[in-house]
This record gives sequence, C-alpha cells and structure tokens, in this order.
Amino acid sequence: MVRVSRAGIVHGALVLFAGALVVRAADVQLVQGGMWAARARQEHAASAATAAPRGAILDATGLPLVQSHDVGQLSVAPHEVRDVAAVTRALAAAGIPTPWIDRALDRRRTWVVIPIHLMPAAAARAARVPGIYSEIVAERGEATAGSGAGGVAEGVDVALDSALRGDTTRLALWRDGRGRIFTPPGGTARVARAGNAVVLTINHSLQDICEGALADAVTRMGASGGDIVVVDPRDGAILALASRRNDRPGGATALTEPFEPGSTLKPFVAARLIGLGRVAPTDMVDTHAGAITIAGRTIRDVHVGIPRMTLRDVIRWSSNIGIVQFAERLSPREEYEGLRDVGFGTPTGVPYPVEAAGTLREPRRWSPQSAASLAIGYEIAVTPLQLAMAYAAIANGGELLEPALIREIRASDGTVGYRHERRVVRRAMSPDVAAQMRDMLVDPVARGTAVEADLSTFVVAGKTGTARRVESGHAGPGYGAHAYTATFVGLFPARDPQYVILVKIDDPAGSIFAGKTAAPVSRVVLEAAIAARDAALDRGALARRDRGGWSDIEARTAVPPDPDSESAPRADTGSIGEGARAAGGADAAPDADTTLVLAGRPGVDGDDRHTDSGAGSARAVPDVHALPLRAAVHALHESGFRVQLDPSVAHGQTVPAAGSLTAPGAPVRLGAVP
Amino acid sequence: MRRATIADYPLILLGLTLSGYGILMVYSAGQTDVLTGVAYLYRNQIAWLAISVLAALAASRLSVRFLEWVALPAYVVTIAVLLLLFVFGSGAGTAASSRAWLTIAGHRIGQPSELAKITVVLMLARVLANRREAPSSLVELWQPALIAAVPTLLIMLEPDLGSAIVFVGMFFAVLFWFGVPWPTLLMLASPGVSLILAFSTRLWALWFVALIGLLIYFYKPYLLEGVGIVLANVFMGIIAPLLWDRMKPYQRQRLLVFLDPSSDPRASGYHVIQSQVAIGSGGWLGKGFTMGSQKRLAFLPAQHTDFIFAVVGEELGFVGVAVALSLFLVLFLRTVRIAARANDTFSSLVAFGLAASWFVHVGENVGMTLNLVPVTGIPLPFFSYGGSFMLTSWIAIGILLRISSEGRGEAGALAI
Repeated sequence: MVRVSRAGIVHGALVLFAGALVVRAADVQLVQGGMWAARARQEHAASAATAAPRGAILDATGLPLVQSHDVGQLSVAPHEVRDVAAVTRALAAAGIPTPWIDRALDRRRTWVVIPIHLMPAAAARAARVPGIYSEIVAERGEATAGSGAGGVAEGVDVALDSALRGDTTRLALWRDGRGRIFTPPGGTARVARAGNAVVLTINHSLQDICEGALADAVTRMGASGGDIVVVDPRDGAILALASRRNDRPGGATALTEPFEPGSTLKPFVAARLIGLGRVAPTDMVDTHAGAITIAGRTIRDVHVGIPRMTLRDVIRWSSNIGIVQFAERLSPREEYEGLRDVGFGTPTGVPYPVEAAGTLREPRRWSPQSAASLAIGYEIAVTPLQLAMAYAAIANGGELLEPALIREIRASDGTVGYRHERRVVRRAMSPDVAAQMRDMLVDPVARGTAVEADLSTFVVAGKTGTARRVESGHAGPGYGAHAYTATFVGLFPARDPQYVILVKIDDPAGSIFAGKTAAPVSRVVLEAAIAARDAALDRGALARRDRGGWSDIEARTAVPPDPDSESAPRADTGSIGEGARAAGGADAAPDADTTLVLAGRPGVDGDDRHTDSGAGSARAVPDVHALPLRAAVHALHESGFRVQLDPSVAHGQTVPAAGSLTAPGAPVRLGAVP
Repeated sequence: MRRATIADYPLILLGLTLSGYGILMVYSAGQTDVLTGVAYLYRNQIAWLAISVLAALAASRLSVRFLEWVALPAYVVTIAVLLLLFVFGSGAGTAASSRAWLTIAGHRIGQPSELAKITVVLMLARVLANRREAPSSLVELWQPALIAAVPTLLIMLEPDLGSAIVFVGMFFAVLFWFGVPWPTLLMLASPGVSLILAFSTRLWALWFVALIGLLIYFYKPYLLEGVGIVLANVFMGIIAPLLWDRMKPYQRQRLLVFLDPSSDPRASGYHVIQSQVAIGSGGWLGKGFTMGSQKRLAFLPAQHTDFIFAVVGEELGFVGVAVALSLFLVLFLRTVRIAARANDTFSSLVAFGLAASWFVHVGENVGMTLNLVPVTGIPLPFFSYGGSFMLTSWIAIGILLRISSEGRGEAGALAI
C-alpha cells in the first residue's frame, strides 16, 4: 500500500509540477505575451531615425549661400581604451586640443563626445584606434565665409524650415544584443527625400558689393551703422540686403528696424498731390526765406535763396517749407491714404521670420502738427525695405509689389515646387503720376541735393533724406543732438529702372547730409554693379538707357535755368564721367554739349526715342592708352566713335573712359599732347 | 531472471523524439543575424546523439547485477576524477568561471559531474538496497548521506551550484522512493531550510519554532538526534550570513536577481529578463522555427545551452512549450513506471534516481527560463548543446531499458 501511494504521490507531484510549468508558461506567453512582445520590439526595433540632408539656400544665380555638409565627429569610450598613448596620438593627429584629449581619457566617464568638426576622412582615420568612434554629422553653415547674405539666409533658413527640411524617415533598423545597429536582412532602407533647395532673389555679387561699400562707408564716416537695400522694381525681387550695426554685419535690420525717413518721404506726398490734381506744374509757393511756423512749429530749410518754388523745385532742393505748404492742399485723410497706399504702416509680407510693420498713425490720432510732420517724413516710421518698395512703385509705373526674397523652391530631383511670380499688392498711383515722379526725381541727382549719386554713364533718379534720429538718452527717448539718419533712395537707370537702391547711414560723424554721405555710397554700389560680371542687370536694356542715348529728360530738366546753380553742391562732384557732360559747374553746359553732339551727327538719329530701336548698339570705348596717337584714333574710329583731340585730357586717356558703354557715333575726346 | 527480450519502445521513442526536438532547437539556436560560434554546433550534437545512442545500446546490454557490482568502483573513480578537477579542471562554455571540465593537455575530455550523476545514483541504490528496511532515524542515514554529500561538496567547490542541486534532489528522491518517512526527510532537510531562511532573521525564527514543535509533538526523535537537528539548524542559521559573504559575487547576484529580476536589468537580471522577453514574445504559436528575433539578434544569452528552452518558447510559442513539457512529463511518468515495476529494490532505486535527476534538470532549467527559480546554469536534458550530458542521458536510457526489460511488468519492485 505504501509503495502504491508512493507512486501515486510521485505521479501526482509530477503532473502538478508539469502543470505548474505549463501554467507559468501560459502566464508568460499568453497573459503577459503582449507586454513581452512590445518589450522585444522596443529592444531591437527601437531604430534610429535618419534625416535626409537639409536643402541648400542658393542665391539667384545658383551660388550656394547656406548649405549642409557632412563633417566627422569623434567620440571616445574611455573604458574601451587599451592603449592610452595610441589614443592620445590619434586624437592629437586629428587636431583635437589637449583639454579634450584629457577629458576623453577620463575613466570616470563612459562616453565622451568631442564636439569638434573634422574632415570625415580624418575622423575615420582616428577611429581605427580601439576606443575611438567616429560618426558623420551634418553641419549647417555659410557655404563660403560671409555668404550668408548678412544673416538674411539664416532667417530664411528658419522661416522656410518646413521646405528646407528633408524627410525624416524612420528606417526600420535592428539593434542586436550587443548594441550594434544594422539594416535587417532583406529590409529595404527607403532613402529619405532630401530637403528642397531654396533659391533666393539675392544676387551674391551685388550683395558682396553692397556689404563692401556699406562697411567701407560706415567706417569712413564714423557712422554707427547703415543699411543698403536693392530691389528690382519690375518684379519686387530683393537683390541685396546689407546691414551694419556697430562695426558688425547687422543681420536683416533693413526688414526689422523702422526709422523716420525724413525727406525721402516727400515724393509720395507730391505724388498724391499730382494724383489728386491739386498741383499744377506752374504752381508756386513762397519759401519764406527759410523758415515758416505752422501749428506752432517752425520749419526750416537748409537750401535757401530761391524765393518761389514749383513742386518740382521743392523735390529737387528738398524744401521742407515748400512741401509743407503744398501738403496743406491735402486733407489729413488724403495725405494718410497716399502714404498708406505705398505700403507704409503695414508689413510688406516678405517671407522672413520677423518683419517690422513700421508706424503710420491714422488721422484721428494726429496732432495739429502731424500733417506737416508727415510731409517732411517725421511722425512716421518705415523700414528700409518698405521705403524701397514704395520707390519701386514709382519706378515700375505705380504698382506696389510684394517684395520677394524667394525666387524658387526646388525639390531635390530638380522639379520646381514654387516659383516667385510678380505679385501686385495694389496700384499705389497711376502710371502717369509715376512717370511724372520718375521725371521729377532725376532733378535731385542731376542738379539737386543728390548730385554725388550721379553716374557718368547713366542717368540716375533719386531722393535724399536727412532726418534727426530718436535716441534713448538719459532723459528718455528723444532726438539726439548728433543723431541723424542720412538716406538716399535711387532709381537706376532713371528710365525703366532695374534697381531701386536705398542707402541709409546712421549717425555719420562728418557731414550729416545724405547728399554727402548716402548718395556717394549709392554711386559706388552702382558703378561696381555695372562693372560686375552678373549683378542682376539686364545689360541689353541698360545699353539703351546710357547717357549717349539720353536727352529728353536732360533737355526738359534743363529748363528753367537754375538761378542758384553756383551755390548748388555741384561744384565739388568729381565723378569720372563728369567731363563727358561738362567741365565746370554750369548746368546748361552739359546739356548743350550733349545736344550739340547729337545734333551734329546727321548719320545717327538725333532723337533718343529712335535710338531705342538700336538696342545693343552701344559699345565699350576701347582702351587706347598704350597706342601711338595715330593707332589710337584709328582704333576709336574702327569702333564707330568720332574722335576729338582734346589737350585738356591726359595723354592717352579718353573721355568717356575706356570701357564705358557709349553709343556709336558719339564723340570720344582723346587726350593728346599738342 | 527472465531474458531481456522486450525492449521498452515507448522509452526509446521518447528519447529519440526529445533528442530530435533538441537538435532542431540547437540548429535554430545557431541561426542568428549576429555572428556567433553556434551556427554549426548542431552537427556536433547529431554526432553526439549517434554516439550516445550506441552507448545506450551498450548500457542496455549490461545486466543489473553487473551495474550493482560496478557501482562501488565507478563511484570511487568518480570521486577521484572530481578531485582531479581541482588540478586539471578548466572552465568552458556556460560554466566558464568554474572548473567543471576535465582537461588533460589542453583537451577538454568532458564534464565528470555528468557521469557522477549516474554513479552516485548507482551507489546510493546499492547501499540502500542492501538494507532490509527503510531507515527510521537520521543516524541510520549516515551512509547514503555521505555517498551523496562527498560528490555534492566537490562539485559545489568547482563551483557548480546547479549540478550540486541535482545531487541533493536525487538524494532526497531516492530516500523518498526507498520509503524513508516524510518526517525523517523533513528533519534531514531542516538544516538546509535553515540555511535558506537564515537570510531573513524573522523567517528563520518562525521556522525554528515550527521545527521545535515538530520535533516534540510529531517526530519524537532520540534525544541525541533531536539535539543534533536543533544544533544543525542553529549552526546553519549562524553561518548563513558568513556563507553569504563567501559566495562569489555572481552567485549572490543570481540570488538577488531571482528575488527581483529588474534590480539589475543590464547585468545579472539580463538573463532572466531576456529569457522572459523571448518566451513571452512567442505568444501562442511563436515567431516560427529559426525566426526568433531575440535569439537572432543575440539578446538571448546562452541560447544553445542553458536558455535553449527560451528559443523553444520564442519560436514555437506556447504550443511548442506545452509539447516539450508534455514529452518530459511522459518521460518522467514512463521512468517512474519502470521504477515501480522493477525487478528488485536496486533497479527500482536506480530508475527512480535517474528520473529524479532528469526531473531536477527540467524543473530547474525551465523554471529558470520562466523566472520561477534562480538562475543556476543547468542544462535541459536532450535539448541543451553538450556531449557529456547527451551521453549521460542516453546511458541512463540504456540502463532504464535494461531495468524495464528485467522488470516484472507490474508494480511492486521494492521489497518494502
């Protein structure tokens, strides 16, 4: 009996025990199965996400401004280091500084990432030593030093992140029990789509020119900063944005920092007056001998000596007294609308992370002085870009355009996903008013406040503005004693403008006048742009607009003779091409000279309107300085120019200078020792 | 004595089925995405199976009387070899830190502890079978206790705790089968219980009170024996903390991790957790033969030896686990049946002892992979890769075949 029960006990125990194991297995596999399976997936399928490369930011010509590139980065597992000397040597050879090497060998740490970017090959070489690991990381930065377009590209990088960012694909990788990651057998590692490339409207050559000119000007003038904006008035493309603040590139302050524009605002008041028919060309206002008190505020003029002025003269000499009196013909609402319609007080909509709206108060919040203040560009704050776009409206026939910073967005396979199209915000003025304004704006450059912006080869239109600047001093914000903003906005060329260029200099230490500070910088930029290989200029169209084919505006602006020509700051302009137009300060002379030449050339159409049909016929004056006189004359004749020997010109030199685009048949004066 | 004419075909079939199942799993264990040395080990295992089956056939030709006769010399040789291990032993495989392998001139001959399992069973059976009746006091058990204790201690010192536990299990199983009363077995085990419970003073105190109660009201031993039991328990309670200090760090870790596997998930607990992840993620039907991801990606440690059962669970699921456990259960039941129907006491004890050996292996190994018992590094019979154990297991089958064929075909082999 005992043994039977004993066998029974054993059988029972065995079955019970097997049952216990089965129950436990069921518990682990069936009840907790999901949890363990999730744990298993987490252990080996917690795969790494791989991001496709971020798209590059290119300039309008396709030059990379900002791009990502692969760099090597080293990490060290101090516990895996067997040969300290070898690791030290390898790291030193890779150019790792000693403090980092010491840190990497610190055995209290388990993993040291050395955040120094190396050539991938150098990193891989170092990683041959046990204990050192290399990985490839993407580094984002300017393609070449200073190619970030003064921080503009950086802002675009942020603003267009969703377009630039590549697909982040979660690759179904496996991790094994030893921590290694690999592609599963038969697993198709889908290649992540790279980010889109963003092509900016910025032209890198022009950007370079602007940055160089601005840096030079700010240093030379002891200014606290400055901005240059160049836009294409035809399609609103921003071609260059240069900023400097305190001797450093200032980022995109042209979009973010509003200022009181001063006299550069006068043309928009004038345009409104003309548009509403409130001013006839012959209407004149008294200049009150340089001072007038309106609503308890005395307004003064810098340029005195002309007792009565037309609106044209007011723009030409930037007369505060004149514009304020003309502006009285506008109701506050009309004046407000005129300024509002050219885009002031509203963000331009440029695709940039931050943009200032500026300030333009509604008439109901105006003080009695406001109408007068606004007419001379105070009580209003505009960003350089807003101002440039407003001038672009004058330049392109009256349409306010949305500024474009992005020309196109291109997928990694080359397909264009977005292309900028000219976008009209509104018609700010009629084409006729715009044409009159363009016409009027030639005066300040030709014989007014901005003669230093003039070019020898092309007619430039533009307007200066010198405004006191608000500073935050000891007694709170107020106009600083020596704080001025000198601004020049130019249209180049004056007919069918291709550029609107805005130059703004903050707190110039010497002359505060924009005509002496900002205007010459504009000339430097334009001269360099003309000489540059590609600065977003349509040379064919430009050739039709050079001085050789220009007389209508000159001819008309020549009337009436300027009674104050001697006092005009014309006398000290020493631009290269000055001699081509006239020697000396008399205004009438250059026009007469030009007219004489054209009239005296029966073979060629004297009327510039006809020269339009001879597009591209302008040619460069050949360089003859090394040639004997006879050969020089021959070469010039060969090129289709008439030659005048002129003893006042240096021997071997020509006027216009060698390389200048000049219409065939035009006279070229050749320096010759008599 | 009848001629051995009828072979125990179910036993042979069971052995072959389990071995075939095992070799498939060893093959699968080698199919990994991470380079391991396991890929072609299944070939060795097939060769070992062939050798083992031949050995089993040879063993089945040996008469029980010869086995009884050879038990003493075999036991002596076994002890001698175990002693030799302290000179020639080396670690390998999952027993890398111990000296379980007999190594001569750089060649690993085998694991003598596997052979010892058979010789100790034979020796125990021989000593007990010579007695006329079951011992009723502890003092009378000194002989079998000594026979089991010497190899157990030697193997513990290798150190190979897992194998040592097998001897303890076999010892108690054989005594139980021989007819030693329950209370005696309990008293015999009491110092061990004390040893384990001593890690908690409160538990040990409870146990001690219970033990005194049992001694006085139930067991009623001789005075000297009673004092001995009490002293042994007190002694164990005192030395346990000292023993704890003397344990190897990995042994301590294993004990702690058994109590809380997540206490050290990246080190010692890793084995237990990974084993459960593999088995648990298998679900009902598993991930498919050779397709276990935890195994393929080398998360599962010792996947071809100690943790091969986790491969079964991961790839063949609960169904595969249930089939394997059922096969083992049938094997145990069949072996116990052979023990019950054996011709004489010696045969019966040998058969039961061998069954107990397998049982401890299976229970410990499967329990370990399912986190029911601490990790001790003990192989799964017929499954785990390893020549010595395969050989031993099949020699056991050979002996069982002989005992079965000599048996009377009915229960009641024990004389008592």
